[in-house]
Amino acid sequence: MKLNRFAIYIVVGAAFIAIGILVGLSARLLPVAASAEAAAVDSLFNFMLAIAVVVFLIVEGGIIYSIIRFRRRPGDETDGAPIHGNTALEITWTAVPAVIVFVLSIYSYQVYMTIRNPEPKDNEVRIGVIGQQFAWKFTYEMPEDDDPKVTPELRERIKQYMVDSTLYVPLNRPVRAIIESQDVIHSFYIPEFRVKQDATPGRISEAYFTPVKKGEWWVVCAELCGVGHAAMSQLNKVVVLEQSEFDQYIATLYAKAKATASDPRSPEVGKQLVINKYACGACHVLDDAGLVGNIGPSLNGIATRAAGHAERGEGLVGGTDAAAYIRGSIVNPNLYVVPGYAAGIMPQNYGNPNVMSEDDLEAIVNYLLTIR
Amino acid sequence: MATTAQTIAAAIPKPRGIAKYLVWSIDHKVIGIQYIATSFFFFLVGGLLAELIRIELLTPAASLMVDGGAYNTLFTMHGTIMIFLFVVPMLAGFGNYLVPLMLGQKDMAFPWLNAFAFWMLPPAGVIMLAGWLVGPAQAGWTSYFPLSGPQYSPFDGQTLWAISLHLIGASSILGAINFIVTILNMRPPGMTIWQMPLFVWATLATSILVLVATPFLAGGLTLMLLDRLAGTSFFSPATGGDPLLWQNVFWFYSHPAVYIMVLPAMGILSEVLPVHARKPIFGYRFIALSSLAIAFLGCIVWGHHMFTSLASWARIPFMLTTMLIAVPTGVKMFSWLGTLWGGKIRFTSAMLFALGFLSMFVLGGITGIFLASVPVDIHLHDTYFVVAHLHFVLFGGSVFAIFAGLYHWFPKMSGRMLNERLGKVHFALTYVGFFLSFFPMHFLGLEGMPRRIYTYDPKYEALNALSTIGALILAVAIVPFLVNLVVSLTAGKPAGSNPWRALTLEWMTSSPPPDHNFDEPPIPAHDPYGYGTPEGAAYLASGGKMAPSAGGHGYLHADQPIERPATGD
Repeated sequence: MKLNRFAIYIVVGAAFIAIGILVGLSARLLPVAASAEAAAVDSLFNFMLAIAVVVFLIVEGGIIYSIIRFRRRPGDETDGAPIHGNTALEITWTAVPAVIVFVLSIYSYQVYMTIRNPEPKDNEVRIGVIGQQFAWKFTYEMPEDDDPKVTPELRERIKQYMVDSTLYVPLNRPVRAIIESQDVIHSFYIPEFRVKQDATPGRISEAYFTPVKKGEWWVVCAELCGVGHAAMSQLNKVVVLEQSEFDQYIATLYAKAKATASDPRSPEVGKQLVINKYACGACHVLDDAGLVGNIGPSLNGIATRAAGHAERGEGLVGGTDAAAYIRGSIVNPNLYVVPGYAAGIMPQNYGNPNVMSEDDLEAIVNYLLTIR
Repeated sequence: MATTAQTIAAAIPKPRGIAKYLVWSIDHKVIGIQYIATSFFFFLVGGLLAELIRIELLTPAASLMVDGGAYNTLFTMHGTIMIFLFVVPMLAGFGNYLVPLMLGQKDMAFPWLNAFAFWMLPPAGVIMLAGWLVGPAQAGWTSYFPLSGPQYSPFDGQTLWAISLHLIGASSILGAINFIVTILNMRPPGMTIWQMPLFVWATLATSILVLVATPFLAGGLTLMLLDRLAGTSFFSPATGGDPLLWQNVFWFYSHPAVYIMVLPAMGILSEVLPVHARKPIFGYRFIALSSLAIAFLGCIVWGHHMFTSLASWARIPFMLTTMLIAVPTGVKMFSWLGTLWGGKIRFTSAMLFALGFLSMFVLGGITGIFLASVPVDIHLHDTYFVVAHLHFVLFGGSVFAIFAGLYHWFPKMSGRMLNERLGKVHFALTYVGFFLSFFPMHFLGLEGMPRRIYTYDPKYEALNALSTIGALILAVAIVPFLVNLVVSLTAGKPAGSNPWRALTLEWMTSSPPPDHNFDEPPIPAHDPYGYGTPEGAAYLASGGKMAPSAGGHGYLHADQPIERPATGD
């Protein structure tokens, strides 16, 4: 009889373990494993799942068995046997879980050491990840360029345009993401790579992954970042490319950035001038450039208003279109003064090419024409 | 002597009936019920918010919400209300009502302080809800900086949120001091610390934890208020502050808060299971000590909430301590199973909810191990897996235990039994609704669905729909309970002093107990869980007067339910 019961425990225990192993081997609960790190994490997860299933079956099995076997039969008013404990049993169920979590800790530690990769590798690709309300942007390193026209100063300008809203990464090369935030905390998360790292303002964080599958997935924001948090998880994609495709992409991005930076009259150059060279922000508000002055009229939506002024022929210089209104407002601000503001506050000397070059003027006009 | 006490009590005019619960009272039983009623109201408010969340999530597109801000407010208020205005004060209510009775005392050590601690709660609740009038908080119940700072949360609701939590924290600290002093100094003669009911043990462990951890919440909130109102920048990186400082301080309180919400619930379970299984608690000392072990470990695991923001080397020690918590938790689970084993289980509503706890909390414990493992957590952090995990702990655990406790002690508090049939309907609907609401969330999180979003990738739709159906069942499930409460309060079967034939001291007086609790100083049973022993049976037979020497009583016979003999007044 006693042997019989012992045999039953063994059989049931073996069955539970078999079910656990089966579930651990066959479960497909995680998304496609698209990075080398994902494979290591998934093995750990499935190992834990197998143990979890066994523990779950023992506890739930024990509960179900108890409520059936030890239910009070009708008419039975007696109490159960006064068993207060069993020291050997209690030590066992303290020690066995302790051993299990010890094993899991060691295994987890091992996996973590392989995926966190703090040492720079020769072949790694460094990509900047910038979180902002409510989008990700990605910055790429510039390729070598032996064009003698590319001065260090121009190269610095080109760098500002090596930005994209999609994260392109090469297949089978380790990627080191250098993560920053411009405002609140975001969390850089690509489920298929099993990678997640908070973008905390004021800090630079890093994340590592090695894409091993071609495909496109969402770059998710996993930390609440405000009103647009939900949208931020379905906005930017990560795209895994063959090395050659990736090189091609970088070359194209670089060519575009170079063209933009080299054109002294491009809107992007104008934006930098508005921010850095001409201190327009001392008086004007312009959200797109982060200007917060409150002395002169707002520049938000200036292109739309300029078109209206052009139709009415107000304050135009060098043409009859919206550009002519903006140009006029800069080189001869008193020609048309926005109602509610006094004439003569805005500097009067921007028409002098020694103060503002022709290129700079046109760049600023071109930039402001994009502010609708 | 009983008469003297009663004469003095009768000389002071006192409001009767419902009215006595609406005024200042220093009677711990009144205060306990005030806590329970207030927090139950907030349970309904928090539940309503949860239903709105689930209805919004029925489909991947925005349906109910005008924008993300409205949705952020919903889950911010849902989480905050459920934690700070429902679970924590509800369990404080059980503690207030039960601890003096279980210790055979007239009241808590500091009755006036007790009342004062309670009366900080209603204003805190009003201040929290008033957020809706001035632009409510929407930075989540965790209120991470800089999102909760003045620049990104300019509305005053965030400030009210902090003020409200300040009040609740202070209330909680005062309550904890009262419990510790009461438990350590006011045990009756014949009750050593190893003969205290396990609910009292759990309350002691919880109170120590409250006293250690809650001042950190207060400190964090003070800095938050200074940052928001006085222009300081403790947490704002733009001016030299550190957002991680808030996370560290916040979690140094808020992880222990999980155990503040779970330990007393475990204490309730350790009372309900032996009584309704008619069997001594299995491994009393291991259960008592595991409460202390959990309280201690609970203070050194906070970093696991920051596995995606902490420096990578700092994640390892927190992984180890977090894993360790599984050990004392496992001890409790297995001890409860051992309590059932060989019992004569009565499927009362209280017992059903306790079994609900056992079968669901285990899942919350197991998923906790996954989240403790740094590499696995990196994938699961801030996904729906975490939402599933925390609800299996706090709903599958705390809420099931709270309902078990309500069914178990309602007869003592009101003098009337709850209707068992309605109780079983309530349990069945709650169990099914709960499982359907939260089990699918594990799979959503494993697939990578982040939490705190109101629009989502359509590939997650089916499981979300299932979860919403579960939430709607939960909404229906509360109806039979409310009906039961109202009907039983007026027309329930009289309970008698000890309807469950339990051995702890709260049952050794009338239901409800008189103002001064016991007409004569009660004598505690030698073993508060001595079911099935001759001593236990004799003790029950004497109505708690005293267990005569085991002599003439048959082994294993508790006999029929015994009414307390009328006291001569």
